[in-house]
Amino acid sequence: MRAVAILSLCAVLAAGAAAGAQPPAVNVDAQILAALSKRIHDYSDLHEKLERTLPPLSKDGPPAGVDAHQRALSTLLQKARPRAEHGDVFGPTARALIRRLLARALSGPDGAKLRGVIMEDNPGPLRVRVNGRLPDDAPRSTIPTQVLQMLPKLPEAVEYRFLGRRLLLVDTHALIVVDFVDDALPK
Amino acid sequence: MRNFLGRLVLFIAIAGCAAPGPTAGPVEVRPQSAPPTASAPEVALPNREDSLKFAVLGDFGDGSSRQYDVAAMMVKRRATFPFALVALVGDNMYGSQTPRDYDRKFAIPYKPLLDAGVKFYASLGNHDELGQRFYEHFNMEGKRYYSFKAPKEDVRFFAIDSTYLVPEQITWLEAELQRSKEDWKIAYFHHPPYSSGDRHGSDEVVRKTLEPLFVKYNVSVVFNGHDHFYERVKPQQGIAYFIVGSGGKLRRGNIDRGSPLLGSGFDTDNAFFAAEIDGDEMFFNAISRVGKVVDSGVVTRRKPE
Repeated sequence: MRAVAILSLCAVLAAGAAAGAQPPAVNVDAQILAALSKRIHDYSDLHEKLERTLPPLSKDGPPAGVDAHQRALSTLLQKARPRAEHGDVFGPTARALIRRLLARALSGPDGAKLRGVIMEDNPGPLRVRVNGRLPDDAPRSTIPTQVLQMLPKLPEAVEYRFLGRRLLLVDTHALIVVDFVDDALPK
Repeated sequence: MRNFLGRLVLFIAIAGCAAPGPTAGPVEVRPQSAPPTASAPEVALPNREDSLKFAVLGDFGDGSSRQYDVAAMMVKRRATFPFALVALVGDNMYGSQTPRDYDRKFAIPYKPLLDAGVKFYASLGNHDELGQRFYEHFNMEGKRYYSFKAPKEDVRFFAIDSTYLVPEQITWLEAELQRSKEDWKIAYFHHPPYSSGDRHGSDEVVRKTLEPLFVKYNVSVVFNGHDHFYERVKPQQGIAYFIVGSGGKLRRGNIDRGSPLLGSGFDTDNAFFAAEIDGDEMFFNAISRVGKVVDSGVVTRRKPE
């Protein structure tokens, strides 16, 4: 399943780059994407492994149980990645690729509208750190389908969010920051 | 891999081979031409024994006295109009979302309704944290998007997460709409495809993504929030759109009265929405914080032409 997803994304990248008649870049981008997807799935695997050690999260429980689960999982993840730092998932080449993909997503005729959707009610460039909890009061920035489908597909354990122009990879159960890409959205 | 191929074949079968059936004609909306007055009284909810009675609420969870007032009015109205469920169109909670906040911003103000067995079905707005999916009173069963069949009448609701419209959600929605054989298909989510609001207004990106599916699969009614007022939009593409983003927050005077979309609007106080489906008709009242009916009418569902 994962291999097929990566291959599909590579095919998309290849098609996009072929239009620009730059065949060597196709393979480089595909390799970067494959490596990025592997790092994301490695994180997801760790998340799942650690979450299995906790009592199962009730799907219709009291908020105290949900909160306790979030905090317990975040503690486990932080302990399992004590030296996690910015760039572990989005290395320099992956960051550059993400910026190119987003620039491409926003370059079409609907680009201004898509950007407007992302920036509307966007909480702005709040300070975050890898392994740190998301700011409690920050609303979720809206991310349109047209943008999400340009980015690498994610496993259920993580999702994308924007804080200002910064793209975060967020753990959806622990609500901690896995990594981020500064200046991900073009100015 | 085999599992993936199996799902791929299933997806192709659903998306490509199965005919969706005929697209139905437009809804018919018979509204009050203006807020009810003594000479033009409201369209009363029939309150029939076996009909589906429900409410819609959005943008409410701020813990304010206004939210508590609207909640109290819902309790009061339910004494004579016993709605069974409440569809939440998002921004169920603002600001911090600790266990105490769940009490202060939800469980306490709506306790009489919860105690009476009313079920709330939440969709997520941009202020809602993902932990809400697991909250006992939101009936989301851990899902960001889901559908459910109403306890009465031939009605299915589709709760969508419009803040994070991943392609998988669109695929799910199309399959779910296609599978649904109910007469009434009602979608609800946070961002309004059509709105006369000055602050947010129509979300054209969401519209472009979702509306073709609503048209194709005969959705009759769509409920949204995000703009902090009540609006009945003139039917668009044969579908009735309502904005009920006035359950606690209020953006006073925010409706553009010159908007060609505007069917009826109320932006001077908070409000919730009460509806009753009986056969092919949905009777509705928008009810203000102080109990005044500020809009009412009847929607006849889309039917094959």
